[in-house]
Amino acid sequence: MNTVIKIIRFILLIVLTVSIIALVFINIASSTILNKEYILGKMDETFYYMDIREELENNFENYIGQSGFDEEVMNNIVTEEKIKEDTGIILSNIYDGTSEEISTEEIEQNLRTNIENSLNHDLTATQEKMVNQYIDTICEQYLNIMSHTSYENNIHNVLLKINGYIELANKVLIISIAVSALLIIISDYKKIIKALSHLGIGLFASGTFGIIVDMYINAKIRIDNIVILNDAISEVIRNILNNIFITIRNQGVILLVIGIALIIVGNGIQTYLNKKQEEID
Amino acid sequence: MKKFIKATIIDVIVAFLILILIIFSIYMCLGQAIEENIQLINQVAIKVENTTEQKEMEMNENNRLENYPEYGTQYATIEISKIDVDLPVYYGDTLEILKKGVGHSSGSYFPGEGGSIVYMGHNSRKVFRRFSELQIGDSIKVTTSYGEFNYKIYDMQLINETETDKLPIQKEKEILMVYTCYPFNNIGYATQRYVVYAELAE
Repeated sequence: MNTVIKIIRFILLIVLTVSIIALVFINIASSTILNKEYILGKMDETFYYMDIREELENNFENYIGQSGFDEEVMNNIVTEEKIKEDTGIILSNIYDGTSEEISTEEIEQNLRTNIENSLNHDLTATQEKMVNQYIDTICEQYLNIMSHTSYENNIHNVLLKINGYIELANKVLIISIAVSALLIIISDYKKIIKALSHLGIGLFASGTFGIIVDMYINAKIRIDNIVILNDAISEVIRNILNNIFITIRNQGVILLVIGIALIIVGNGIQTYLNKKQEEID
Repeated sequence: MKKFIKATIIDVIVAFLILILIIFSIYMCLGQAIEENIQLINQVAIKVENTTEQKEMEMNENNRLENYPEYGTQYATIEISKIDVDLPVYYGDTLEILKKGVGHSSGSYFPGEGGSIVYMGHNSRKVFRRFSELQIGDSIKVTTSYGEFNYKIYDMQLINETETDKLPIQKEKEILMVYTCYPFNNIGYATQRYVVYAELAE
């Protein structure tokens, strides 16, 4: 009978550990990559808007030489505020499911004014057409660099599903942790204090798992060298990934420390109580 | 005390046993997928520290160039005092290069090698907008790390962008050909090129 209980307790400990690990990972995901405010915060932190502005200006300069215009026509056509505003629109489309479109009216207006100021003569119909084509190209470039995808609403639908699963998983995992912890305590109700050390085992294993995951990923992936799309986006992604793995490691350390403490306290008190009992007997 | 230590060690062993079981299960179920994804991520992780050291260009006793520049790097400056041009020359002709200064067509020879040298630049104000002011006899100076080369303009021609035969690559005589888009005040893409031909003066 005793062996059967021990096996059942061992299985319950596995369930408890897996549930804690899953809950930690899910919560990290929902508070980071699935959180719009977190992404916006990271963009601010990594000077994303400034970098994107540089990227845009760099890209626009590729067109200026061929266009025949002076370099000055590109001065101040896009502001960081505009980039921030449009980034907000894209993220809202992705995270909140809005269908707002980025307006290039301001860029068009600024560029047209600059071109008109730079040219000292009236334009012919052909030149006017060329100017319009040039402005369209620049606006198109702006949209391409800003959004990178036309599937914002599709991504939002996927996120909605993920969030639904996460909400469900959260409830299931909390119940699973509560039930398995309760059953572990019941399985050794005569030594209720010893249950503390059993719970400690679950936390110890979960914490160590988090630390191992962080070590494994850092050994296998060169996060600081990741380059996706452009420097600004790469910097945000690198920052987010580093932050996620630091969080996993930190939470792992916390769980490990609590686990060790529970094991020591549980076993310490239980040994003391057993000794007292032996003395009474 | 012995009992306490024994119980604690057993608990830690059980914790590690559970951990090994979980890791083993994950490895069995998702091991391959994890490895594949890690490989995929590492494909977009480039090593930035992996750059080669650029050796200085030199002209040996047989008038042959040693240590050619890396594509996209500056190796010279071009000076046309008549039109106030003093610009860096980069090896290559991409848009990125032309944004920074004058490009050197990678199929052509280098100054001092005794062949055709083809340079190009935009017709913007900071580059070759004033090309029309150049006349036969005007000088162009190219300064490299291995020497200074002076050229005298002997011809100017207006060509179509497809007329590559007007920019012949040969190695019998050192000729510098510098071209830009035409008309100089053009708006939009220009299909004509204004070429300045210059021969080595000294």
